[in-house]
Amino acid sequence: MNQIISFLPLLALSIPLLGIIVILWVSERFPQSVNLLTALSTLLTAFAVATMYPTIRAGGSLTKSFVLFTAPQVGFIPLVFSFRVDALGFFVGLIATVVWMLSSFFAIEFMRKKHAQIRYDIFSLLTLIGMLGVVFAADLFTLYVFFELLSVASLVLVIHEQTQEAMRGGVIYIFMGICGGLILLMSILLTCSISGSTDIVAAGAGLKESRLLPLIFWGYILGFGVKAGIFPLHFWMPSAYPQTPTCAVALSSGVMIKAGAYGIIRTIYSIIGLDALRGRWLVPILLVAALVSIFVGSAAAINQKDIKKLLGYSSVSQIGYIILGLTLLSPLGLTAGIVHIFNHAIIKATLFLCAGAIFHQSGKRYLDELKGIGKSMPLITACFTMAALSMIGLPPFNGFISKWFLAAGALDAVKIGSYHLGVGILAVGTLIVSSFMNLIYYGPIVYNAWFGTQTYPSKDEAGQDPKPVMMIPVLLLALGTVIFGIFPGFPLSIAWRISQFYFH
Amino acid sequence: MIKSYLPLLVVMFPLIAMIFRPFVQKHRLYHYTAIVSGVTLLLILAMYPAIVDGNILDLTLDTGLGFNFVFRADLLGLFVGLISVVLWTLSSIYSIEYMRHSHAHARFNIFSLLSLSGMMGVVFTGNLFTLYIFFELLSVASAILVFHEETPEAMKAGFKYLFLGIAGGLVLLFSIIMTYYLTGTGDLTLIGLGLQGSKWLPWIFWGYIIGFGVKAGMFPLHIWLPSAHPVAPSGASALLSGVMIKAGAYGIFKTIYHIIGYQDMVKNHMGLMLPMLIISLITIFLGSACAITQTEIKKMLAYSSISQIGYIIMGFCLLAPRGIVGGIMHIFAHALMKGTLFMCAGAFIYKTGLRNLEDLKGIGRRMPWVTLAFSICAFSMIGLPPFVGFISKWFLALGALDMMKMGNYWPGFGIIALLTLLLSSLLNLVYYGPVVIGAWMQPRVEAQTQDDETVASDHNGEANHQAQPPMVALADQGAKEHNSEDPNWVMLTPILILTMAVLVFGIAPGIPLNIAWQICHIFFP
Repeated sequence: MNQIISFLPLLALSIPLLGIIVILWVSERFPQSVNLLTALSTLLTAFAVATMYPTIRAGGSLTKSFVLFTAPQVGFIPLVFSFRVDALGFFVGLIATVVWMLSSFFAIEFMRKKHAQIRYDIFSLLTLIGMLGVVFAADLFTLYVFFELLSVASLVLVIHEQTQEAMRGGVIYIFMGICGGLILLMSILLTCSISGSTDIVAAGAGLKESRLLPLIFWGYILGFGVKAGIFPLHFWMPSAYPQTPTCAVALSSGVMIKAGAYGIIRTIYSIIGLDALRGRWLVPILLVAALVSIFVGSAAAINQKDIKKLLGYSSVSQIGYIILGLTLLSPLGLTAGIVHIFNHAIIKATLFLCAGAIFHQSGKRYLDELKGIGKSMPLITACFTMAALSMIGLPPFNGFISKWFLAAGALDAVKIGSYHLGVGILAVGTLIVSSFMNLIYYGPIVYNAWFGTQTYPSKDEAGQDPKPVMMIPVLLLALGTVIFGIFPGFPLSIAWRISQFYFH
Repeated sequence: MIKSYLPLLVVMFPLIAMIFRPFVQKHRLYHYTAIVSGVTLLLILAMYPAIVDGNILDLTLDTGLGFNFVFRADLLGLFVGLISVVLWTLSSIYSIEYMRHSHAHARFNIFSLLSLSGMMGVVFTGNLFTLYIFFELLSVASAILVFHEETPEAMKAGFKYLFLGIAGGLVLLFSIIMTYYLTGTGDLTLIGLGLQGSKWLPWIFWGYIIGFGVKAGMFPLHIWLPSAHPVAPSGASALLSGVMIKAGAYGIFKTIYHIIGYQDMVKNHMGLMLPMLIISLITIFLGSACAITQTEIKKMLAYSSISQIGYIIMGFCLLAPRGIVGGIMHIFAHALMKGTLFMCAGAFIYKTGLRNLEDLKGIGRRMPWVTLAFSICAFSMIGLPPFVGFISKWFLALGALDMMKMGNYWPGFGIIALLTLLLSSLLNLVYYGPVVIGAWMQPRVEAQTQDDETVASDHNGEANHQAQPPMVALADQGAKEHNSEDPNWVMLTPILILTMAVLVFGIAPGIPLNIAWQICHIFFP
């Protein structure tokens, strides 16, 4: 892989920072313009990330290092901030910035006249920096720095409402986030100490022989797993989501938890490496956790009454799909996992933004209030329906593509001998059962929304479809679920290339 | 080694400056102290080029008694001296405003300058005799700063401090005299004074450790610290916690690496280092654990200092290169962070009269800049990047892992030390986190949110969590609400300068790290 020295990764990271500075500068005089400025800076960021595509497509990676401190002595690990954008980092970074942009445009209307807009916007951009830093980091030091930034900055989004409930959810969120971060730090330090390097590719040297490998592996998995919200580390999600502004939940559930999934890919495939993990029980245990996650998330979602909580549990289940793909240790499985990062970001962002739009227009968020909402808000309900169908895994939506490849990956894993046949069957069975459970909890929402009878006394309370500035981001995302279902070429080709790289 | 009067001048300048103090107008006293500290800073900076080139500046004053006064500036001394004087200068500027309504200005300033001289003497000393003289000066002079408020609480804390300081000093004196008796020298540039093989060595070692450990606030000798640091005026608290306890850590470094020597320590005396390592780990844990239960801001900060001094001592006790780098780096980092935190706490107290954590909720709205500085330093204390506290924690942790590889200790201690560091970070989060979050965001009650909650409880069938009204403690307690805003620039500038340093050296730690690495290189060629 040819590496090109480029300032583009740094540029993508510094645009949100510039946005923050501009916001601080103009917020006194034009307090109403900050939401728009945020949206524009995320748009520019997405553009900066997209400009890397030609290089990535040509098989290159963009890299740049900034040495903070180095010592001439042998064996000293230099402290550097280094960024490298390879296909995986680009892919996750692109989907993150695009969803962020759409959510920010959505927030222009959604957060208007809410309290502390400026704070929300600043910390939204800071969180974006954290997210991009995680996926662009070329060494573990940089990765950790931005990972913590992501945890801390997103806390402010989680407790934005400052109600007692939100504060309580925030405490669980930050406590688990920092705990996870510290465990991750332990693994990073152990890795660096053993191999003498912090580079993500080179850091894993010598881990294979180390007796500490299981400890290091589980440290990474716990650290990233908390962020990903995989069972049994998912507790922060249902407690934090109901009180968080919906556009922030869309980011958390659509994008931020993918930082955890991204970290797990890096752990298994590049830091520790497939060679060191073959013939050990580490990855199979993670696979079991993923299966449990899929099942538990879906099962818990069935009983929810609050739509945000329901979608949160659904995310637990969906992140399980992604982890399942990664832990199958087969090329197709990894492809499916990476594609599902992409697809789930689109689907879940659509669902949350729809829920947010409904709440914004009518103040409704409980499932029994949503009956008949399709009559007063047809466009939003249509978007929600598309995304829900996609989540269930019906063709021609993009959720179907991920599920198809996941099932194929499970059988592929059996064929190449990574797993016993029973595991493959179990994985496929879990996928089918989970799809059915998705139908159980998404089906009634959709059905009732269209065919239920409204129980509101007046037309005003029922609300109507939102203004275009709010509607367009949701529509674009919903269209994405169809387009990438019918033409899955773009995500599939990149994911396939990444997977070929790791499986040679 | 170059003969130079500069180290002597640095130590003596605060004392010499006292001659002119009577001519200073009463309301200009704090300005005068700040200027004297500033000039001392310049004098230290004058030594910087020569020392960074690898020289040692040295001056011997023959007393004719067999015990000479030796003033000597090496790299470690320069490093610790520099950060001490920077903090001293900023804290003196801060005190100009903070002490405006206080009393006994002359006494405070005299003893502040005496303490400065004592601190410089400890740092720029060449032998044990000189070290002892200035160590005692530091103990006694700083006790007056603790006494300053003259409340019963302050008197009690001051006596405890003075008593333990003198007792520790006497134990230290025993060890120093024994060292002179056995080796005939107290020269601190030598690596290993030649105590090998003496059956007295364990006694001497523990004498040093107790003497310096009292000053450092090391478990179980820390008992004076949580009572003494909070009662002092905040400018002095910043110095006590940010600088003076480092004199103890500096002494422990000298004991391990100069008086006994690394080689000898590893070969013959690991039995002494093992308890030290364990004590340092207990110090880290205990300090953090006690800080959680505190309700008063300065007391919490004082307990936090105990924990942080444990980090430094642990770094030295790891007997590994990166452990030393981490320990020295943490002297630097902790001085910046804790100095700022105490000054911020002082600013809260000065402006609002409130010192209970519960009452400080929502302070971020009224004093945004001070609260911002407090938040940044608290994050740095937790060890979050990109602040300077993370850099030192990073190196301490790598030092712990180096120690595993070097095999001086049982390797499991490396993991234990690493876990203790991480656990302590978590405990730091537990006690700093709520303060920071509460300062910026207190639970909000508005008509709409209450509606939401009612709806929520209806649907979930849960009990409705009654939202509490926002903290109105300030009004209740008759606080000085009329002027609860950011303090004026005299008080704010030192805080902001230090906060900037916490951020800048977290992102670009090159200069202090290089010095720390060079110091470490002397002992691990």
